[in-house]
Amino acid sequence: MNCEQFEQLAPQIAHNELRDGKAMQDVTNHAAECGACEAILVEARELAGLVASLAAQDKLLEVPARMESSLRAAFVRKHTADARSRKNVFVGATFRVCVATSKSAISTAFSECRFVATKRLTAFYEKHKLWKSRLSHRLFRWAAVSLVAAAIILAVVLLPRILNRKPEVDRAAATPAQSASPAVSGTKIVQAPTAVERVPQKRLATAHKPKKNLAEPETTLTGFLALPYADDLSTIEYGAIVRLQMSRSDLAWLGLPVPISDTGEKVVADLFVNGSGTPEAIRLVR
Amino acid sequence: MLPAPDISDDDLTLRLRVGDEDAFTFVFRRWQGPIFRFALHVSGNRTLAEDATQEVFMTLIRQTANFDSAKGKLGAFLFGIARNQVLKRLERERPYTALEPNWEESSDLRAESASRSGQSDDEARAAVIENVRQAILLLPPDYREVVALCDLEEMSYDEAAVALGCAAGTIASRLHRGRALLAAKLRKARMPQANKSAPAIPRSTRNLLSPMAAKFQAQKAPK
Repeated sequence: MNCEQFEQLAPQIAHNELRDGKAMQDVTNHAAECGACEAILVEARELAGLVASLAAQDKLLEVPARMESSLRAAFVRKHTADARSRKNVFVGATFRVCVATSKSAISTAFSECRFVATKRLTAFYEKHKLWKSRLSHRLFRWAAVSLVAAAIILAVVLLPRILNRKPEVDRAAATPAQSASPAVSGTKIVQAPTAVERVPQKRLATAHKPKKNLAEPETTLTGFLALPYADDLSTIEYGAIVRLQMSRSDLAWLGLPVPISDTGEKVVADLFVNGSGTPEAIRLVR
Repeated sequence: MLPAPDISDDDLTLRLRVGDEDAFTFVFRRWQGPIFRFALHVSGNRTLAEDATQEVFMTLIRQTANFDSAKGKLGAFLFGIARNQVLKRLERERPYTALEPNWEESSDLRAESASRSGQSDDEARAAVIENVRQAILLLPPDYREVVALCDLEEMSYDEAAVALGCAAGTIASRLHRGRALLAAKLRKARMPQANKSAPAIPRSTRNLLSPMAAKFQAQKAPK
């Protein structure tokens, strides 16, 4: 054995790894003969001893104790999740097997019931369509009724307001005329009426046009005669003509110059009453 | 931390797969120390070693089904995960790692101060052991992890081969070179004056030095 071969085997001898007895004897013999190689063997053994001492010194080194608890918790979490996922996989696989095995049975049953199902579906569809047409018809009818009702309500509410509305021109024109002749309006003499004063009369004649049998001149004996206490007829805006059967005493009570008799004969007369119901004029009919 | 009962790793693995919490506790108590020490010896950083150890067992929790006892033992499986985690973290933190001090000079100073102050043999030995630890950290990663597994954790070549994902022969050669480099570093640190007269590195390992070690050697050589 030469020195290079000795250097190769020296660490194995130092770490007790050389199992070959013959090689061990050669190394021992060479170390006895060569001082340098013996020093190398001593150094290797010393190094092995130091490394073993280091290993023994660090043998008690451990991780902190808290790591064990945290890793145990992680282990439990992981296997709980795995068990859950395994359960889900099992349920899913069972479901798929059930579906696969029952697929043929379902298709057979479906083919047997196909005719009945088609018939029922058709009937249902027709019923559905009918229901839809009825619904649309009903909706249209309700819409039409609602429109008519709305039109009637509008007419009832708005028409009187439109008819009763006074023209702004008349009101504006009448006010200065009345203020211009306050003294004349207090008298019963109606002379030279102005165009402004004639407007109410015209409206009175048109708004309260008497019926044909009441206004016929051949059936009346007289024209309208203003009652003694009546206001100026030209100032009356609204009024009505009422046909009455009156006794002569009633006529006398109204201030007409008629002879009073006890015969009880009735006279047909038309009374013109103003807006407050007060008679303003009378016309004898028969 | 209580020791795990005498149950084989295969049985514990079977119980782990069905969600046995006690089995996980036994596995953790059995392997947390070796895994943590391995990560600490390879990285030299306690915080990094703790993080790597925790990540090893988190990976075991997530990938229990990936472990095949026919391919190797549970320990080799866990050490393989730990090695990947440590290397990944070292690679991530490399831009922020402080420059290494001149370890041999600092160890010389420690030895001189120990001799001057008259420390006891135990203290001097503890200082030497600390030098060994630092020397291991200066080894190249391939050698460092093999030394940590086979010499410090007393793992067999086959188990280390499974953990590191290489052949048992590769483990043997790496271990031999790693031990030679370690011996050279310790020799230089312990006998700073000796390199003037005697070769600091064995003849068989002179051509195996890493570039950094060669540069180191050139700096220490007399001019």
